[in-house]
Amino acid sequence: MISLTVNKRSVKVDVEPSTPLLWVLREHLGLTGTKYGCGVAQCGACTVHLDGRPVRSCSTPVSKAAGSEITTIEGLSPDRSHPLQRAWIEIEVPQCGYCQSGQIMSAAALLEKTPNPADEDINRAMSGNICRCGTYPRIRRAIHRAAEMVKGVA
Amino acid sequence: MIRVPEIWIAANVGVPIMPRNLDAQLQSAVIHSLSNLLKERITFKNGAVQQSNFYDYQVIRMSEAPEVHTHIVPSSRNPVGIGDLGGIGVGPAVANAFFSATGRRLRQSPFLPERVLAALKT
Repeated sequence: MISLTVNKRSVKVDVEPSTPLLWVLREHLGLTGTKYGCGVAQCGACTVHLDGRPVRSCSTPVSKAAGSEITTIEGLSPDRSHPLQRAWIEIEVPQCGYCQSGQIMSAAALLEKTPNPADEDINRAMSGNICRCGTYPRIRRAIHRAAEMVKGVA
Repeated sequence: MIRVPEIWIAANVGVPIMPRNLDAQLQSAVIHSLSNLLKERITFKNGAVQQSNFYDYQVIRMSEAPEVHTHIVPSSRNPVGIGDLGGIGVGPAVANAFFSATGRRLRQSPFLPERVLAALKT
């Protein structure tokens, strides 16, 4: 049994320590907001946070996540009220939607560290997340918009 | 290598039923086509595709994605589906921009760095 903290909830899962975190999230915990893309940490669709840092859960063994705060897209806010979620809806960022959970999780980690990111910061933080639909310009705009919202609230 | 920071595109699809979706679909097709044009190449060996994932099949990422400026031509004609219309002009636009800048022609896509370099040396 491995003990995990997922979205502030303690859970125990009966899996091999080498099982990818993504499998545990999706198959054992039913948190299917996190997506499987390439399986080799190239596309970013499976991005979740470990203690606030963005990691590719497809290539992270579950044993490495034990003891950390794991946050998935489901844990970003209880009611879609996270500034990024609001900005995403306002700007209608998604096209097919598959990569978007990963995009939002990477963006959330960026905004935690850099509340007012320049385009260069966005390029650096977001280049690990592929979007085959090419929603990049709207992702960029939505990150700037979310940063404005955070400033407005603070 | 070729970098494309901005692209302008106009479309006339009759009455625009969902203008924001139209805008998104145009941006999407432009960026997807630019990715095809500048990066995506499949090669075969003994009848099998050699590339297997994004580490050997590079696609466009945030740092390379241009700003796409769209213009919907006002029209009262019957609406038609936008489809992937936005992608059609990207190859010629980039190839002609390259010709304007260098006087050299790129005739085979994708315009990979080695092909660009070879064209510049001719």
